[in-house]
Amino acid sequence: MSTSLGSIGLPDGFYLAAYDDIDSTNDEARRLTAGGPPPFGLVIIAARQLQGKGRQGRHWVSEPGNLYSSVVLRADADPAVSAQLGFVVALAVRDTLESVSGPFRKVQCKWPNDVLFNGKKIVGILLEYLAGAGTAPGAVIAGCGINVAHHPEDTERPATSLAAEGVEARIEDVAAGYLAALSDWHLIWLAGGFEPVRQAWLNAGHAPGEPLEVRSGDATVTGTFVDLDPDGALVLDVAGEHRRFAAGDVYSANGQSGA
Amino acid sequence: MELTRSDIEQLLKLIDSAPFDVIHIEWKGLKLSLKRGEGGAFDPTELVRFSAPPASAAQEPSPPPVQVSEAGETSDPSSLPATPAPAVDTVDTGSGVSVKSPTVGIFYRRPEPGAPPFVEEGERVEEGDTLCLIEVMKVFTAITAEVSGTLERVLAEDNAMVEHDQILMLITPDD
Repeated sequence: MSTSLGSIGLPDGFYLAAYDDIDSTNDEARRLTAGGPPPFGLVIIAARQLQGKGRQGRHWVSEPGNLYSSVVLRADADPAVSAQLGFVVALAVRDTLESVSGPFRKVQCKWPNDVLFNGKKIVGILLEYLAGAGTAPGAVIAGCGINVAHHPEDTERPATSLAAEGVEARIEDVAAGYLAALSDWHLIWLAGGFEPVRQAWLNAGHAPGEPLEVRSGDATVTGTFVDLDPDGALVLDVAGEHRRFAAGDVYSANGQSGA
Repeated sequence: MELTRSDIEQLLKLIDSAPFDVIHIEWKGLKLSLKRGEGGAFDPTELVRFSAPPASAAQEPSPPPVQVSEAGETSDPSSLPATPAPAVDTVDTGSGVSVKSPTVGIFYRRPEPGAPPFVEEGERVEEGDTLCLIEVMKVFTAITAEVSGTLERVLAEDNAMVEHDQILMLITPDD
């Protein structure tokens, strides 16, 4: 049990297991979820991950100093609806970054669940859906790593950390702020559905007309941002035609970093 | 409904690239059955059935069902239809059990690029084993085996878009 991270303040309904070292917080959450009803509200935080991973098995550098967390969230019986929780997590990260960094820093959400700080990647979010029994709601394990003290240098897209941007923040404060914001946005989603989340995300996300690329496999489609669909899909104007995307990697079409 | 040459070519292209030999399509009064290979009697137990949605459910013209199977065969993300197209809803599996996608999304046979598939055709699977992943909006759902048996066939293409309820794999359960 990690002593410094084990004493952070938690919102109602959340409870914490903190570790000095863990293979991966998502893996630990999955282990503790197996074989019984999902432990909604369980928070796993580790000072270091030995086998941190990002989307599609990409290695996620996990040395001490950054936040490594996973939260088991009540989701929906439908995995497509549950995928909206990616926006919930992104908004919680957005709030956290704005809270610790103050004004004048640009925090932008990128579809579907990435967050950029001054145009650079500062967070890694990995969500895994676990189906419920029968028609019971499923669970989403929301893995979230925020670069507080350091960031990798050799990344495909520019990365940064709070420290590199001149923001001094204690990891305990970042963790507590993130969990409080996550609890708030999760409750908004549970009570109000996706629309209030969608509206908040639109205020923090892509600007109308922003050129974007969606890549999936070997295919790339370029268009301009139109909207976030009522179910969370990305809507682009592609050569005058509106197209929806429910999957794929999104990049800025003018060569800057993307989600 | 009139059938154009282009429609016929599309259908022939579909069955050429499909992982099954027989397709039966019913669409707006049209019934069409196609079988690959040499003549022979039409065996309805081989049917892969595409069914059109009820007219009352369609708020806007839906794409013809022939596009559905293409969605599983292309990596073009733009192929995602605005209204989820009708999916393959039944496959005769003999005594087999079909594994369906719980949602529209990208089908992954591997835990990560370059890794071996979770399971290969012909390999044994135990109930609860992870068979594949489906990703929608970067949320991953692991699809697990509901029965123990042998993975008979993989019907969807790795890294490609699949539809809700699309049959991904067939498992022949233990006796």
